[in-house]
Amino acid sequence: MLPVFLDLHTMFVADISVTAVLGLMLMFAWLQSRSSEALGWWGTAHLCQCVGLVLLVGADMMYSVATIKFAATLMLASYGLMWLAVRRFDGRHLHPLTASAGAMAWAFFAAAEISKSPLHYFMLYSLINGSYCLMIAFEFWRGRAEPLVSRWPAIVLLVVSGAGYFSWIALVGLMPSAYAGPLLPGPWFATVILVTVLGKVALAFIVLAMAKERLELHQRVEAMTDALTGLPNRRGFYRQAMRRLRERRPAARPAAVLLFDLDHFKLINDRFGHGVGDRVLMVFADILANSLKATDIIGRVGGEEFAVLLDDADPETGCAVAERVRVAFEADGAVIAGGRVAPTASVGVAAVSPAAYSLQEMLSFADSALYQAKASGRNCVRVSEPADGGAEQATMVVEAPPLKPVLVSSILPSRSRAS
Amino acid sequence: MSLDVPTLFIVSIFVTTILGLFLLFAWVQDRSIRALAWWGAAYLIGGISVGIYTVQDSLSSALSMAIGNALLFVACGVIWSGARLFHGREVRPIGMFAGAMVWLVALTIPGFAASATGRIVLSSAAISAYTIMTAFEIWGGRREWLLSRWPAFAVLVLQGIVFLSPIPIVLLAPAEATLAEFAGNWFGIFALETLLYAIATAFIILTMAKERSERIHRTAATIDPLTEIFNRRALMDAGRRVLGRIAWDKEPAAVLMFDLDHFKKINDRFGHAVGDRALQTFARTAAAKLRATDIVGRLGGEEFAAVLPATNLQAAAIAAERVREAFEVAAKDIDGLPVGGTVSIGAAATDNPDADMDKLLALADQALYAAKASGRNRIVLSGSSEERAVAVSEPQSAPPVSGGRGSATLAPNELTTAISAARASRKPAAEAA
Repeated sequence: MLPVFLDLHTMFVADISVTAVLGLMLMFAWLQSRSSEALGWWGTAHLCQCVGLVLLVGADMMYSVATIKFAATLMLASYGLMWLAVRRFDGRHLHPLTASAGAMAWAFFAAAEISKSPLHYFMLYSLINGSYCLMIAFEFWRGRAEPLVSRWPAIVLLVVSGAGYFSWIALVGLMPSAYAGPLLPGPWFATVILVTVLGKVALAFIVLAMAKERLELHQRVEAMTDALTGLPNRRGFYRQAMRRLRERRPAARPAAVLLFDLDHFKLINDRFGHGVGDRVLMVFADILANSLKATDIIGRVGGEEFAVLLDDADPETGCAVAERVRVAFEADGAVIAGGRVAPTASVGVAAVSPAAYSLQEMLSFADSALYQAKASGRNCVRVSEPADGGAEQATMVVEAPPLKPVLVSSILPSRSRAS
Repeated sequence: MSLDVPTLFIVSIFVTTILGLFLLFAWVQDRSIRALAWWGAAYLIGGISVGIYTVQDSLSSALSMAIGNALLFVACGVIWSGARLFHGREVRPIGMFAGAMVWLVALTIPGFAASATGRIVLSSAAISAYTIMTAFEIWGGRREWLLSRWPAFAVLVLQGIVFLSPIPIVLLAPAEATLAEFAGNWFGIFALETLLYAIATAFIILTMAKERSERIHRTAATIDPLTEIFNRRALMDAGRRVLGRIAWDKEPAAVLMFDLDHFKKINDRFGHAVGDRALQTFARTAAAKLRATDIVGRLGGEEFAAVLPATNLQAAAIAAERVREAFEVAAKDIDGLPVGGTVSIGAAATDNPDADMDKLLALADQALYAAKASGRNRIVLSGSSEERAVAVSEPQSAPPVSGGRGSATLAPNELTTAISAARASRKPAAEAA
């Protein structure tokens, strides 16, 4: 019923003006955030397409076949530009040759008058256009490792468009009679234009949303990352740890929290300067990042304080990991500043069932154990367990820790070394 | 050349529906910006309203006119409400539905429904009023800097005027018959223009919403929440930019490094709350005593640093002394407690266009160490005799001593001597251990 309504001429005017507005909006969005270069490319593609459309309509009025061919070249070039835009977006090589190959193939076909049948021109145009749609969808898909939600609607839209072009080729190829004579065929064509206009609006909107989403994602990650060590900061650690505990809550297996505090860090800073202090922090962060599993959650939660959440770890595992880090730090730290610094770390470990305790409570258990480690001479690991395992006692930690620090003697050489 | 209005209506129905759905999608992604949901809903309502117009031949014409227009006004009201929400103001349901109400009441007045002039004047006035009111909300929020606010404001004001344009035309038209003929020609262009306006607005709305959430995240990434000045990352970035401009400015740049004296003791004796207040006091004092072009940040704990563009070592020493003196006064008593906070400062400057922020900071840090070692609450310039005296006499493993050793405090009248000494003995200081 739609084709009866739609006026082809009006559709063209709508298409041209909508394309122009989209191009201008994307260009504006690019000017507003220059780092999103892909927006500029996508906007340019729309403006190029707009010129092509104007020529197409003008040529149709003048019955100028040559102009129509040129206009179609511009339209295909605009798809090449969109392909470049996506490659740019995901930081890949630009390959101008591939981008212009479609337009050039078409121009060659048209200039050499390889066929006189308008049907063939239509099929070639659709073939090239459909291929670019799928290529652009593929580029979006390749970048899927970056968690941008808008990627998926873009891919779906492009695959559907590509499939549309190819099924139209198949249809016309099988039934040439479905295609009627003139260069710009019948009223149904207006419906095709309507669909492409809607696709264009949708895609431009998605592209804008995606570019903005990336900027936002970047800022969000920055806000949760410690600039010096590159580890998650306090906010990042809490956010990740809470999510992990929430996700695994039904499991009754214990989780371990490890709290590390570099010994006499203030003294290191005062004595050797902040440059050395920073080195020490970075060496420690490297050890944490390298000696733990990728699924363990780590973070720098304070000036010289680091925290680790180990999924599914009993007190023994927690202490073993803590001891491994402590020993590695003692070894690696010994080479900083010609060995004069010799930094060490104290560790407090708490391993409880996360079903019974909150992250805050787990951290405060670990903090009590850390206090014990500091009190018993630093550079060692101490583990704490709730006295009766009751949640009521756990909340009293602030007043008087109802905790029983246990020395895990088998793996913990009891030695103190005040640096 | 005239445009086919039903065709444009159909395009508009689809386009507004798609845009409405996308705005809702954007809201689902980031629930914190509720205005996106309102705007998305407004687009969907607008789409329905145009849909009712399109099928008016099969509906009763009077009914479709009544409902179609009423819905259009509701959509405009919802857009206005979204703009209010976006700026943290409450939604006014009466204002939101006022246009639709007035319209429905007017239709009951005998003769109004039959008068094209009356209907066009009322519709134009209502839509224009909502558009201008929305523009006004956008303008009212201008203290929050969003680049896309300005095109949004401009488009809305222009569109408010465009929506008013039918009024003089119909009032000047001699008869209703001419009006119909006239409308036939212009209505198409009007419909197309409105379609483009709807698209542009949706894009600008999305840009504005995303710009805000990006800014919120950026603030979180660059501002230290306690002292509300730059954090380490932002300060280092700013410092690198300033050093990068040395060649262009043809002026040296300086770095000051601050460390609050005996901060741990303050914390232990007066509690963390007072310690935090001391940090805040310092951040405020430093920001107030330095120039607007200087950048202050908190490096961590009780360490702060400032980057001073177009500043040589002498000027940096004067600026540092201003901060030191002001902080000594400001932190004498905090919350009525005799905190007696002071700050030690190390200063370094460079005119080397290839200077490295980390190195310059390390030089300032060495000078800071000398200031700490020679008694605190003082300024030491990088490369000065004081610094070297400390560096020579203090083996690096010795504990820092407080007070007593040769006076390196820079009272304003002593500055010149210290600085000329610094100049005379300027040597590239050894890198921090």
